[in-house]
Amino acid sequence: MGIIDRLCHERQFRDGLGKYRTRLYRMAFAWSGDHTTAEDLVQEALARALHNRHQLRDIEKLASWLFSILANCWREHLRRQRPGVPLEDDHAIDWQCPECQQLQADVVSRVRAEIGRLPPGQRQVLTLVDLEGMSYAETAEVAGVPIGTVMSRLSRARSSLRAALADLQHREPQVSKRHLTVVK
Amino acid sequence: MKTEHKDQQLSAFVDDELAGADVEDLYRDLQDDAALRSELAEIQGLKNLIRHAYEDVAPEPVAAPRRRPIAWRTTASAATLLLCVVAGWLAHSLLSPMDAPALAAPTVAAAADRVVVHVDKSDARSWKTALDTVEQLLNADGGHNTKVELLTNAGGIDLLRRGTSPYAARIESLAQRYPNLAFIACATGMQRLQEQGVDVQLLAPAQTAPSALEHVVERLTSGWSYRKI
Repeated sequence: MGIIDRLCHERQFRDGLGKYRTRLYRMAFAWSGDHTTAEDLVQEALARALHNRHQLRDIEKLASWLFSILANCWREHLRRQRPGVPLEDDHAIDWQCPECQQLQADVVSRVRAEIGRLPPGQRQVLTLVDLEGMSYAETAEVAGVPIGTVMSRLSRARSSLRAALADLQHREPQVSKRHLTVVK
Repeated sequence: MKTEHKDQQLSAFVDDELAGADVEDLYRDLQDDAALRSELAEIQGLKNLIRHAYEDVAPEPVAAPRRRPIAWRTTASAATLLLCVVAGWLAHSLLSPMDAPALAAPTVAAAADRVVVHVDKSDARSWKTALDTVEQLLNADGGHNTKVELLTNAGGIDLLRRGTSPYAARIESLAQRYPNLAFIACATGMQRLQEQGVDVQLLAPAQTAPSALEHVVERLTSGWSYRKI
C-alpha cells in the first residue's frame, strides 16, 4: 500500500470512528438495556479498534469490523456477569424495577423491554438486522454464527416479539407515520 | 400448516434477503393465504416499531475539556502543515502500540505536532513512561508548536489525583513550563470512583473530558496523533 493510500486509509478510519460512535452506542444499548453498560461497551470497543487499527485491511469493512469488536466485548461482558451460562440460555435484561414497570405503558419502553427479554443471541441478530440494516451475511460475520443460525434466531425473535407486542401492532396510530413507511 | 421454514422465508423477504425461485414461491403463497399476508405485514410493522424504539438513543455529546482554557498557538503555512501531517502520520504508525511493547522506552515523534498520550493503567511505571513521553515530545521543538494532551481514564486517573499521584510536583512543573500541554481526566471514570465512595480531587493543572475514549476519537478525527501507553 502506497503512502497516499495509507494516508487516505488512516483518515477514513478516523472519520469512521466518529461516524459509527452513535450507531455502536445504540446497538450496545439495545443489547444491554443500560446506558452505563452501553457506554462501557462502546469505550472498550473503540479502544480495541484504535489499538488494532492496523488489522483492518479493507476500510470498506469498517462497519462490520467495529460491530464485530463490539459483539466480542458484549460476549465477554456476559461471560463476566454469568460465567458458564450459554449465551442462548439466560441473560434477560431486568426490566422489573418499579421505574421500568411504570414505563411499560410507553411504546418505546414496551418494545425495548420485550427485546430485552429475548435470549442474547436472538436479541443481537434482530438488532443488527433491524437497527443497523445489516445483511444476513454481515450479521453472521459479526455474531460469529452461520447464516442459517442468523435466519432461525431472527425468525424466532420476531415470532416472540409479534406475540408479545400484538396489542401495539394493532394500535398503529401510537407510532408516528414517518416510521411506518420505512421498509427495507 | 405453516412451518419454521416459511417464517424464515417471510423474514428474509422483508429483509430483502430472498431471491430467485423462493420469491416466486412466496408470492404464490401470499396470493392464496390471507393469514400469511397478515403475518408479512406484522413483520414489517415490527421492524418499524424496533427502529422507533431506539432512534433517539445516542451517547452523551463530546464536549471540549473543561476547567482550564488551552491557548494553542496557530500552525504555520499549508505546506508546513501537510509536511507535519505526513511526518506525523509516519511517526504515528511507528509509535503504534501494536508495534512496540507497552512499557518500552519512550520514543519521540519529532514532527507530530498534536499528540494525545493516553494512559489507563494504575501503574507507576506506565505513569513515568507517559510523563517521559510527554516531556520528550514537548522538548523536541522547545515546546513552542507541539500540542500534547496527557489523557487518563480508568486506573490512569490516579496519576492526576491528589493523594494518589507520586508525580504531583512533576505534573505541576510541566504544566507551568509548557502552556501547550494539557492534563485530562475522564469524567465518566471519575464519576464511577465517586459512586464507589472515593473522594476524587484532581491536581490543579488537570481538566476533565466527558469521556476519554470519545475524546480520543474526536482528536483522531481532527488529525491528532495517538499514543497509547
